[in-house]
Amino acid sequence: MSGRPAWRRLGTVRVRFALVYAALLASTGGALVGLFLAYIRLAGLVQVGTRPREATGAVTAPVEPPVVEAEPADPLISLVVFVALAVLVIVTAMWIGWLVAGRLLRPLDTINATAVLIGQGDLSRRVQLTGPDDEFANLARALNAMLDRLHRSLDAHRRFAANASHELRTPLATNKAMLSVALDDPADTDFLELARRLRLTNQESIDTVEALLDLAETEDSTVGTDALDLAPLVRRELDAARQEIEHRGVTVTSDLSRAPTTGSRVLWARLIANLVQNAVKHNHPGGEIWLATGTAEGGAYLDVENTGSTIPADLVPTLTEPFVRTRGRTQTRADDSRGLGLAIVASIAAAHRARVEVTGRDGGGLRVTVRAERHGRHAATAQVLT
Amino acid sequence: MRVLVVEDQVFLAEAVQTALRREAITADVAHDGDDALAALEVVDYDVVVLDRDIPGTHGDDVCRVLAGREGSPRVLMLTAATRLHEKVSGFELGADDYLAKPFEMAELVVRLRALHRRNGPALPPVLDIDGLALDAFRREVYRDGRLVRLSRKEFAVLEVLMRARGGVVSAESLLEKAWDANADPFTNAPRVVISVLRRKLGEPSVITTVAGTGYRIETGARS
Repeated sequence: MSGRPAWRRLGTVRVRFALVYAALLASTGGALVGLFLAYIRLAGLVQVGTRPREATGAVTAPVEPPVVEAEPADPLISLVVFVALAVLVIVTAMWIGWLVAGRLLRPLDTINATAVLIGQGDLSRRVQLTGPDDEFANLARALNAMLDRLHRSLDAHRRFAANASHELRTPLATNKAMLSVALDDPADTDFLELARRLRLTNQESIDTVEALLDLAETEDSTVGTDALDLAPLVRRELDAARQEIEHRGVTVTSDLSRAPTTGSRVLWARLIANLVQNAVKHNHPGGEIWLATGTAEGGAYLDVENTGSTIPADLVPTLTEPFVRTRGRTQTRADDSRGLGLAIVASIAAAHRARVEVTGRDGGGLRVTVRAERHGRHAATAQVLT
Repeated sequence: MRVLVVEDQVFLAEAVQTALRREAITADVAHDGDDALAALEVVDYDVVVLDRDIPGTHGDDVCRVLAGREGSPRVLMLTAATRLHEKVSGFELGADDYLAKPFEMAELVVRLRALHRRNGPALPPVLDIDGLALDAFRREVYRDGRLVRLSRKEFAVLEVLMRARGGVVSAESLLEKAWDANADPFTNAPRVVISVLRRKLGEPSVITTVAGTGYRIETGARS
């Protein structure tokens, strides 16, 4: 609630409760006092009258109390009546208090009902409150943020399981078929060759599982709010990839301006590594790579462009899906990519609320631009999430 | 029977090819969709074993092309996807059967034979012509109740002749159905196999030569 202008705090539940207390207190107190005065007057304990006022310029006729020489009532009965009425007043006040409190606390019912539904399994529900932006709205926001986090985590795990089972089926089927053929006619089998092939396929399974775990990890991560600069991270990655770049004879042109942003240093480094390695691997010998970092519209950006083979236009948007490679969803022997590089990039970017744009280049190759959110806005959201 | 195996995993494709060969089924291999379509232009395959996730033209698109053509071979889809909706979409594309990976080789063979049976007019599981019986599923041939031992190639050729139901089958057709892509197109291997078959099947000879055209197995009462 801090940071909001003071006048807005008038709408909060706390203030409303306070006002209700005050109103009830005042009215109950007033009612009781009134009753008491009536009681003592009726009981004849005190003469109640008004003193003639001093004329202060205004013409005031002396007011004489109505001389009603009533019989003083039985003190005991009066007392009983007074006490009864006083109790009635107090009970009424309690009842009104109970009604009003119930009304003020109604949002809790909504929150409770939603929580029950979510508990029964529908994780896509969120708490939706209408009404003023008060403590309950705050609670609802925090709960929704928490649910988003949980949902994302569960989704990531579910996707991992689905991807793993799908991708592992093929090497498992291959091994099963090879073994079946071998055992069906052992005399006709070259077991040494079989062993070599089994080893290769097994390694493929291992690599797939490792890559999938990497992806699941990035999807499930909470991103910190460390301040960092993308430019030095890119320089460091270029250094690390120097050998491979020279080996392939690729020319790198870089224009690295300061690109401050927040998040996880490790994950950003990973994202940069994947993009640079892709740019080197999927390039012609003697090809080119252009790297740029900087700020645009208040947010940091990273641009990686490389020459290479032409990618079909309808395939480009799907490249960030797991296991999609430029030749379709398959195993290419030439490179040992597992098809998850861009999927990991997309996942890390999403965790940082950054946008990824992938476009094919005329003449072949790919261009990937990652744009981080505007600095201030990201920090605020990060506060709510952590 | 001639089958095209479309599978990009080289080891798996070879294993399937070997297993089918042992079952007297001739199998060629294509590792991507474009090679598959090219091969389908050249050879009249009986059944295609099609993996969905292949490079080049996607398996689904290959299936669509085949489903749209008259007289196409039957398609058995092979894939890692096993969810119901994925199977349904496979059938909607025009697949005739669907087998999930990993699979039992024996099941693949049986399903291929079942699909082959349905090619053209429906055929019974055991082909029987005048005392000559060929059981494709068991790979057994009987002449008047007596088991005849045939090599795989001889079995394959006899199967083609019997499926023709008295129609004439040219030597080229025999070559196409019972020999794979590595065969020399000018070989006289079919003729050699026919003569061996005649010897093994005994008298009276069931296979007649139709001069200039090919061979046939006579149906109808023998004298």
